Amino acid sequence: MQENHYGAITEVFYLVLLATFQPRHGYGIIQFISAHTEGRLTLGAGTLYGALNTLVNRGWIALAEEAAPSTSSPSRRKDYQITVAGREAVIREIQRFQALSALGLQISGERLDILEHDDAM
Amino acid sequence: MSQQNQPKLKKTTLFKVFIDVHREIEWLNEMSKKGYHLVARYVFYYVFDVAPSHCYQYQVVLRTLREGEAEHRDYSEFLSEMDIEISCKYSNYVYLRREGEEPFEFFTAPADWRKQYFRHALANGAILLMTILYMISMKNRNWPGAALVEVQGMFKLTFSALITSTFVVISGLGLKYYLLQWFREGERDQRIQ
Repeated sequence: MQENHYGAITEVFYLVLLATFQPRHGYGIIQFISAHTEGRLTLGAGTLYGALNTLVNRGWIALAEEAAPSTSSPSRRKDYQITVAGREAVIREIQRFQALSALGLQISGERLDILEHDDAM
Repeated sequence: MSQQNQPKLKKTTLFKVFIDVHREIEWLNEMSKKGYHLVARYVFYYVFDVAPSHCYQYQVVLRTLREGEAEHRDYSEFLSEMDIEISCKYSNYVYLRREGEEPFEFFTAPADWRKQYFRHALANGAILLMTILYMISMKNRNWPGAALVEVQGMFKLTFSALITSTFVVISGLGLKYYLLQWFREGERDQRIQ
């Protein structure tokens, strides 16, 4: 397994990586994240631009250019898609979450079904 | 009406100095509500088009010196997807705007604002240093800077002293303000983590 030099990744990076499992452009990524966090996180364009550049530099996402559907003035819209290295980073992060979650439940003595029942009430 | 037949928009110029970029953004948004839309910015003054029918929300971003035309074009294309346009540029300061009355958040991660504050602090620090070097050059006529102001006698001294002291005060205040903001954002980041 590729050694992770970056440690835990931030929530923004994690969500951007998930959004790019399907090729998406910038605005599409913002909409994806907003929808999947139920409006809790709406990324600013500047924050997203920085995140995309960082992830491209790390080799976790790659650029996939395609023309926009507009017929009057065709412009090039850039779609981003996750790479193999990016998928591995996501898997590592999920494993990290799972280990931390299991440790938390073990130490606190709580059961997940009881926590979910309390939330529903 | 075709673009060629549209009347030229009236322009107006205002002199203004801001230490705090958030105040600058608030002021630009208030001006836009009144129908004044930023089209150019120079040292200490802003040029506006007057068009009461439009309203924009503004953001100010300080980009790095490393970026060239290709990066700027890439940035501009990226922003256009979100209906954000570049209103004008002044050195590395990029003035962004989006039509509408709803304010738009450009940076939503605290780390991004921290980076901006650091860049503002560096920019102000650079201006402060260059101004101090220029003031030193006024005393030493052999420095190249001494040839920059070619006016005679007391007027030269007063004019140069006024301009340089203005730059020193503003850039000094700016450096202090942004370093404090950068430090506070860092502390806030530590507490969140």
